[in-house]
Amino acid sequence: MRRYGPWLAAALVVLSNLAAWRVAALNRSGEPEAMLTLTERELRLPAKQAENTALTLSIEFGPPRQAGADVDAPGWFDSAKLEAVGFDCSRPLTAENAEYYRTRPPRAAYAALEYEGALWREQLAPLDPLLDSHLLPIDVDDDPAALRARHPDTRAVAVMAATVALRYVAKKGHPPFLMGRVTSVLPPEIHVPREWRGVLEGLQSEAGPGAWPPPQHEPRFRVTVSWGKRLEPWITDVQLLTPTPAR
Amino acid sequence: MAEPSGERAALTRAEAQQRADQIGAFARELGELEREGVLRLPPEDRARVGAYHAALAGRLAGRFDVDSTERERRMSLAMRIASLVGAVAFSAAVVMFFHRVWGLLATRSQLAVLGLAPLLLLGGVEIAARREKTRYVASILAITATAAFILDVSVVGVIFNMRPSPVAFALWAAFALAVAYAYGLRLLLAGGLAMSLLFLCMIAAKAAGIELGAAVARPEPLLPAGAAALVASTLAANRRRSGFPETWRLVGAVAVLLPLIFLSTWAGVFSYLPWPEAAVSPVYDTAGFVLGAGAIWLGIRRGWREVVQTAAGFLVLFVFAKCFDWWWAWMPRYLFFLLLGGLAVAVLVVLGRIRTRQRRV
Repeated sequence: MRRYGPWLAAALVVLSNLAAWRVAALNRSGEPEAMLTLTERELRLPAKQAENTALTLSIEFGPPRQAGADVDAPGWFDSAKLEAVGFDCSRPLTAENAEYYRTRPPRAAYAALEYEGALWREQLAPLDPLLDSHLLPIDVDDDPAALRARHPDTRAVAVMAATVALRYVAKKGHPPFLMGRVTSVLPPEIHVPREWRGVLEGLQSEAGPGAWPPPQHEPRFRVTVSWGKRLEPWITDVQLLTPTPAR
Repeated sequence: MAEPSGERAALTRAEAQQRADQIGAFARELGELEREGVLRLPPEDRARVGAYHAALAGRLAGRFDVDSTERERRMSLAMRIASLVGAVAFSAAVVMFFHRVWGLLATRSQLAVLGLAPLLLLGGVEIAARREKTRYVASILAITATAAFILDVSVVGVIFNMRPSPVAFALWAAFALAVAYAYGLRLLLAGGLAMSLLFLCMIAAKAAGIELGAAVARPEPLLPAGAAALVASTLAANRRRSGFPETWRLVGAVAVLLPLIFLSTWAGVFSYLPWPEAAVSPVYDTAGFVLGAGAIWLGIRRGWREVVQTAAGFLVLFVFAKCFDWWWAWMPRYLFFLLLGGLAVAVLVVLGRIRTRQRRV
């Protein structure tokens, strides 16, 4: 081992890097699985960090937090969809089983996210179209191919790996119900290569990271994102948007 | 001249150190016996023993860099602490330096820097290991090389926007274990084993369809893996290396026992088992007491001090966790704390007996 150990470790470094390049090339080969043009609402620009010169845009999707806090009905992500992604919803919805449902761990699944689709036009467009993300989860499944077959528009719907959680909702005077929630998409951030970095750098704020609420301004840039064979995204174009003249 | 048989047996640094300690203790005890008039060696015998021990101690110090005095021992401890601090600091420096500059580099340059850093550091480990017997510097460089490899895999994943995968943990574990076995580095061995255990948890979570981030909150795969680590400590490849069996046993004992605290207290949250919590919790309650006591028995029988200490610590924690679980909700607070106090006294008595038993072993 004394003799071979260092060589084995070095081989691991070389092979893992080669494998990563190969997997990335495979993901980006051929026609993209989906291609969406999103704005600053959907791809949040982080604040400047003195210790980190990398730039990644975090994928933001709706419905916004305040809209999801108080719900009366499960919506499209109901018990049937929860079972489709592997949650066991067979126990009766009683107070005794509430703890069981509340302690179910989040599951790995696939989600279809639509940009400015029917659901967004119906539910969120009338509220505040300027600031909140126009990208909404509209379906989930544990099979990405089945999801794509149900939502074939690759210019409006992206199928992404996602984390989904179960929620047991019991409101006074109403029968309890189960609903699902897409809590994150994977990867949650998209790396901005150096060729696009210059365009976005000047827009970064000096405020501390994680500031909430986000800056109150209309989107300042548009990014075209492609998703490949492994449902992993990459940026293909970045453009600055012209501000709307003040009335 | 042929090596004395005692020196031939000193295969590892730990055994050489033990022999050096024995020589020192023998010289001190002989001095005491002579001063009290119990024993007086003829001058020529004393000189012969003294010369033999001086030569042996010199050879052990030359070959294994053992500590001959208490002062040297304290210095070695300080050097070990310094090397750990150095390893952590160098690792942080590598990670932060890359974060500071990677936005300035093109993708190809980023990938080249990421891949070359662990390779160059591996070269540094080899050079340091050839020049220094104690391997403090090699240990610092080996841990830094592992940190650089972890950075490499993580950042390549970020650059290509890859989804998180358990395979990354398998790669890091394999790298850490390969370097640990090559240079006999215990800290890296412990790190490699911990990453292997995490990998197993993630594989189980992936198979069950659970999000990878929640894998650690389902620790059942650690139970068989920990038992396997205890068995693996007896393999010849580990027995040959100083401190390796102890490290395997420590990691194995923690992996078997620690999850039982969570599994017995909140089976509904932490267990993969599909049965109701009321059925699963008693199984893990029983397992906690039986395995805790069994580990102490096994540790005493085999002379595995680290297993005895881990199991004793676990049993104390487990008993207190179960007391809280069973009694806190319905018992008056004064009675609860009175019972805990009584239990603490009982634990003291039991641990005292275990210590006496260990001394006898």
